[in-house]
Amino acid sequence: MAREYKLRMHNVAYKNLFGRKFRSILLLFAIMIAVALFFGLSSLTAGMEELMMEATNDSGIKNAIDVVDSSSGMFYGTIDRSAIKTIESIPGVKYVIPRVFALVQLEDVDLVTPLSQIERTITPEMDMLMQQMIRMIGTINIGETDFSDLSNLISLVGIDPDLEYIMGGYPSKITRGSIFTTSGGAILGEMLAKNSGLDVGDKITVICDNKQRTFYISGIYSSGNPIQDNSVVVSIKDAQYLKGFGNNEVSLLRVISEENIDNSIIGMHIKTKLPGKVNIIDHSLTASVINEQFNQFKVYEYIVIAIVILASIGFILAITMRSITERTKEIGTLRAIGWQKTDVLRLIFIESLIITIIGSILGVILGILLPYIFQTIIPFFFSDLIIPPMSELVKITPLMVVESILIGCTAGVIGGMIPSIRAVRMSPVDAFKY
Amino acid sequence: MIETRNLTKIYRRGNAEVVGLKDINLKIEDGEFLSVIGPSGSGKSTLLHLLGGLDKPTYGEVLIDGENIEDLEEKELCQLRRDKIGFVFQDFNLINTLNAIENVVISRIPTGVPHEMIERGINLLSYFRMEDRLDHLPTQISGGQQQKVAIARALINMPQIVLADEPTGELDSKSGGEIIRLMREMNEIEGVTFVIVTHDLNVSDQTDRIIQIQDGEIIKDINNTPHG
Repeated sequence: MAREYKLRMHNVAYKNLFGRKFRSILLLFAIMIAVALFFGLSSLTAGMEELMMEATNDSGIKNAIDVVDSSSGMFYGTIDRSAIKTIESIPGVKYVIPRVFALVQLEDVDLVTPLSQIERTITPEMDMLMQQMIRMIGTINIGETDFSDLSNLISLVGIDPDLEYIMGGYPSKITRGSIFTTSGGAILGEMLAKNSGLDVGDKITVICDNKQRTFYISGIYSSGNPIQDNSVVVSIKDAQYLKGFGNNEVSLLRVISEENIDNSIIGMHIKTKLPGKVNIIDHSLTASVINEQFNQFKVYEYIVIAIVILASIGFILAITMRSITERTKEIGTLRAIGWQKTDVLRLIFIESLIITIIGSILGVILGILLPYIFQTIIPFFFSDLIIPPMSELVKITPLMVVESILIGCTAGVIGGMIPSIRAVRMSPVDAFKY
Repeated sequence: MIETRNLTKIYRRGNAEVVGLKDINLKIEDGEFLSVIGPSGSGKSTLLHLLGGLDKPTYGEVLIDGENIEDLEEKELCQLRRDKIGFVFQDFNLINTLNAIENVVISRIPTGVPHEMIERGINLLSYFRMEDRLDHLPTQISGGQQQKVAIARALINMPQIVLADEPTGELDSKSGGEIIRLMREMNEIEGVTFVIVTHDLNVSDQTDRIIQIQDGEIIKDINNTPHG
């Protein structure tokens, strides 16, 4: 009784791959790196795109205009709430929502925030330059204060929860707990909660200039925008108290227009109706500028991806060409003993496919880990570099996984087969001469 | 039966033409055990390649059982090489990643290896006293054993003819003698025709017919009484 032998085409392919370990490992490595780079870049771009989309879509930002005080900006200026009625009377305006903004400190909370990290990297020259810039834009009156004093500052936003709900603002982004219903409650951005170690049920004391107030944390929200997620949100009344504002004073009016209405026209109307008092910040322009810049970034990304793919095909070709002498003679032998050209190509195709599928899957795994690996490694070399959390920057989709594997397989099969096609076309006699 | 008619092969080297074989007319009957001898470059291997359909003649034809192999389509030619012809090469040409039995049945792998084919492979290797080397890779066995695997590979499909190109060229005289003895035994047991190209007169002396080639032409075709 003959023992069982596995003698099918794919078994031969496996044996060829295992029998040429060095070549196979090199190929696997080349494909894995190429796929990991492709996947890493794609997931990073998709993550950044989503982040930007979320930032620009925040509170319907695409059809939003912010109205702020023309002389002191949103952090130090005030707008009278009576302007709401004036603005609401403009045709095409859907809602007008008041907000109060403040830069505050949290008592007894040591923040590990990007701002405190920035402080470590600020040189005296940069400090001077930034002070000049801040004075020029006139939004923050920091006098002769050293910029490092800003390192523990976070932004506080005062809102009207009911109005915010309508336009999908902070309350609709709560991930844990709930929105506060009375004065004295606060919700925290996820990044701030993480950096401060605070959570739902904890208490915080917020200091703004020489006023302070204690809040209980009723919820945590996540908008996907790192700046927003590093803020504390309280009721508009509490924010007015901390800023020393009167009942009718707010920092900003967010104007949401009807769909298909040109923001610039609404902006012009507002400026006409409130002459000399306000500045208009048109978010649709910001969004389009961001989109334009991001599209440009994507072009660079595609170029890098194309280079990665071409380089990997080249590398794979270089590896397969190295072993072509041995392979050509082997192909000649197979042809001499009765294999057809298509049989030989089928064997090489299966070999290439096996190695590229394994390489691509490993590449995708490495691609998922790559941003986190970089995040871990980079601080050892550049201790002052600020790296945002990768979980916020990276976005992985099933389509991306499929695309990466397909690209890996295509590059691997092309690189693996091209040198062999020439050998298959040769007559066996010519192949023996190798 | 294999027959050649005015078989001619001319190679081009730049503008010059080099005659590899010239007007070879030859008949090889079934079951013959013959050798082709001649100095290096005389055209021995070229004749073998043309007989096996590995190369195409410039003029003339090769007939196997009356059929001109040049009339065959690529697929038919592959089937002919697989089913009717076996090849044995000087440097064995085994696939280094496959073991002995896999190398023996390799020609059948694209279409699937029948169970009886594996049994035949094992029987052949056992006959060659290699039953304990079935799972060994070519790099794990001696040159003589590798050539035995190559002969088993050539015989696996019960071909009509085995074409051997310097089968003892890489072997010591003892191993070479054993290889020729095995070929002779298979010729007698299975009735396979053997055409052995060699420049070793000790090898040709073991065959029944010796064809001598020089400068691409047959200069002697004699019957021989084997010695030893």
